[in-house]
Amino acid sequence: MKELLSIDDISVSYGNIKALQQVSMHVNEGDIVCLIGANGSGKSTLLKAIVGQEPLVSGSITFDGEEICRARNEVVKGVKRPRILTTDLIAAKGIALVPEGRRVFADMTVEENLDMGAFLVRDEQLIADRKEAMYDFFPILGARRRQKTRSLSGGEQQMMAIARALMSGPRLILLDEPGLGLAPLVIADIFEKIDMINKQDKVTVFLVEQNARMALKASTEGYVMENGKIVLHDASASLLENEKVREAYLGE
Amino acid sequence: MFNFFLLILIYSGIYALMALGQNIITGYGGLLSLTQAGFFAIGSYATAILTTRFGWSFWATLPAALILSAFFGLLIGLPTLRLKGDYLAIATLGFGEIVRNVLNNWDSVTRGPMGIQRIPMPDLFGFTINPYKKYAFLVMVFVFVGIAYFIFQRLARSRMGRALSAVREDEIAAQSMGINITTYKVFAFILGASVAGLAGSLQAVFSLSVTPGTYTFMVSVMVLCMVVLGGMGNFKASILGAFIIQLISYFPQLTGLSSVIPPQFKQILFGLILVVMMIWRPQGLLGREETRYGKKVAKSRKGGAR
Repeated sequence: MKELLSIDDISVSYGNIKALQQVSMHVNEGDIVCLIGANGSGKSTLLKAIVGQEPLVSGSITFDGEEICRARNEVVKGVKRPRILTTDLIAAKGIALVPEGRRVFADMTVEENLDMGAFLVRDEQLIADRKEAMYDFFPILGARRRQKTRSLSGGEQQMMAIARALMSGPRLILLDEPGLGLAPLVIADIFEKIDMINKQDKVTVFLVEQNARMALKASTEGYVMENGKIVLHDASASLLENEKVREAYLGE
Repeated sequence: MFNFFLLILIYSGIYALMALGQNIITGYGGLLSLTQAGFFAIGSYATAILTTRFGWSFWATLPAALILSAFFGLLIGLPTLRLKGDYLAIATLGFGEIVRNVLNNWDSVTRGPMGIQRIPMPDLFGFTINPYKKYAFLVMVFVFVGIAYFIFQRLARSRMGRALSAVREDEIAAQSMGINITTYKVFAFILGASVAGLAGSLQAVFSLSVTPGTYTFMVSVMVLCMVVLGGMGNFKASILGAFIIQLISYFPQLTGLSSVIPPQFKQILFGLILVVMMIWRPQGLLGREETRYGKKVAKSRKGGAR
């Protein structure tokens, strides 16, 4: 299977604090890959690095064979060439981020939010079709299309954030804690949708979660992060059986 | 008395231009900038110097003033727009003061505190637009306000308006939608600056003389006041705000009470207006204009093949 996103040996620092240390990960096209870890282990930093919000100290990130992030001052072919695509350019390559805490445009209606998601799409008919597809996929959004996003519940907002990300027609969707602060039933619903997005729309999913059980059940491959390092990597089914994971993350 | 009212209307028009610019920066882009006085001054001095020293006609200086202030908008926009909120306000406030101090001290070009007098009146097809006979001037000012309003209104409903609203609401989300936030912020800044330059140009041919004392920090505050009073994110409201604020600031003279009410009175009143508005009507008199971007697309879907 083709490798879509590859993260090679990246490090990120906040001043003296090393948030990520030589992290390497690979996401194959068509997979759901999850990254689990405790608070402050560096999961969100990794996502920020992928979308160009945090500069790399070392290493590089490649998407679909093209380098999108490289550490500053890295020497390439004898020339010092920092090359960091800005977030908007990375989005244009086909990576959609569903940020932590949803970050919806609260004062816009659901419909306007979806329109914003399709900012890079110039074909109006395509936008209209995609919106219609989103309303079919998340019926609650169709019912609330004229409502200000502010008035939606947490679960609805999360669904809207996912729908908004899908509006750009991405090849890879990055989900930062989609289950954050939601009721277990709602979380189950959202994970079901994520699975459908992957199976039906063939969108590769990279999922970052604290809820290890949900994430591992939903995904094909899993990584475990501790203190800015990848400590485990295996098929999700095996990770669910792993002694260490069961003890530390599944509370068994 | 009626003549005086016309004067207030003309100043309302000139300030309305600046307020429109401030609205695209603050109301749409969510950037608290306090530089309008600086761009106002640059526009005024561009017209004053080019007409008196180089014999340009007023109409030729207009685009020059516009481009010059737009250029300065770009120049200070690029470094300062990394800043947010109050930090941006402080940095831009500094720029306004720099402009005023340069005008005050660069004697060889601006004649310093003496200012530049005897600016020729603008001509249009052999007809002199005499600022002492206010009607023609009033019409000219409001033609410009109309044009600026039309252009800004169109822009606000375009991709740019949508992008700016998204940037105002959430920068990170906006970026991950593929919006280049720097481009759009700087663009808003350039637009706001150029329209303030235009206002400056008009101010120069209205008062027929320019002195650095006109372009104080108070001007920027007044313009911000107009936008907040009218309603952020609403261009009609900015024009209304400009009129109300001008009416208030000339209220003592208008009613013949200037011997009783001290001139500082208006500053107290502006402060009071801001406080009262923030408590009871933070969205401004008219509130934000609702732009329904979705409507157009929804219509096109019905008309589509499906």
